[in-house]
Amino acid sequence: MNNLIIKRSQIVEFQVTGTPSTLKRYGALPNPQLQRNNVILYGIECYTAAQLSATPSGNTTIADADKNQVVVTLVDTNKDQFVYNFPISSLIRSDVGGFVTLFKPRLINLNDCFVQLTDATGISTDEVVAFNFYYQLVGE
Amino acid sequence: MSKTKLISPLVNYMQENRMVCDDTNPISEQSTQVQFTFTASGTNQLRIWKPYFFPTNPSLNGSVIKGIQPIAASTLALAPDGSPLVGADLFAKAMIWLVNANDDVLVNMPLFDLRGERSGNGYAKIQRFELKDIVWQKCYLTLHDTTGFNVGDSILFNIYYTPEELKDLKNAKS
Repeated sequence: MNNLIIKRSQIVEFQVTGTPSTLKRYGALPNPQLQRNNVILYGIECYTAAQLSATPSGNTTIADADKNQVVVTLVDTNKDQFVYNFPISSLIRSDVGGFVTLFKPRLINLNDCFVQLTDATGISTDEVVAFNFYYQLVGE
Repeated sequence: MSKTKLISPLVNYMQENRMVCDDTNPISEQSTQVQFTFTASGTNQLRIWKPYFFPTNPSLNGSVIKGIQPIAASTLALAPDGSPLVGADLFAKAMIWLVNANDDVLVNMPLFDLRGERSGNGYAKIQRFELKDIVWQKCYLTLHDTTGFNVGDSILFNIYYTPEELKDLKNAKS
């Protein structure tokens, strides 16, 4: 059974700014390491407070009970939404047999990625949906 | 007639580029243990967001780090020096930061991710890495909540690595 080898990883936070709403797209917080066009993403996992209670920015991660209310869309440098409205529950490692979700390696465009809430109940303003992006740089 | 193993081109590509490997493959050529103990004062004093740097480790500097496993109290009650180890439930409050010679943070992730024990419906496994230029004394831990941690508690890590000299020796032979 194959599983991921980590070459580089970076925590990415999508913050629920303002009143939590089901129609809004919440983008990623600034992340200089990943906001270049040379980042090849090949794996991702999501964290709730059960795995990471607060992020390096000091933000509170969403509660584990709220994990079935969020979907994520990932976009590459061709503006292709190669992962569309993917439930984050399926990206939580301890819920999927300990495996990290692997992708066909592709150049990620973090500025255009977003999460959406399908139900805002229980989610508070400024909480974050945290991910770990596993990647390598072009040419590495 | 021997059987040919079928493998998709994508998986083959990811294996060749060391993005994935089989969980049952050997992890590394050697392993060592690194211990971190919290103290009442000084550099290891309990405090949130304080970087707790690891001491210099000549075995690890220049080696390829292949795996990292924090050891919880459920696996080993006491560290070899007798100090108590923290429970796995506290690993969600701690992060490890791995830094290379260029001062780039190659990896930052919660210790919770690195547990080797079986959790939930998963099975026991060691998280694999391929980190070639790590400078161990630049790597550090952070806590974002000290609740549950006590002075004298330790976090113990198994570090799986392949020494640079061995790699060079093999390259020279081939």
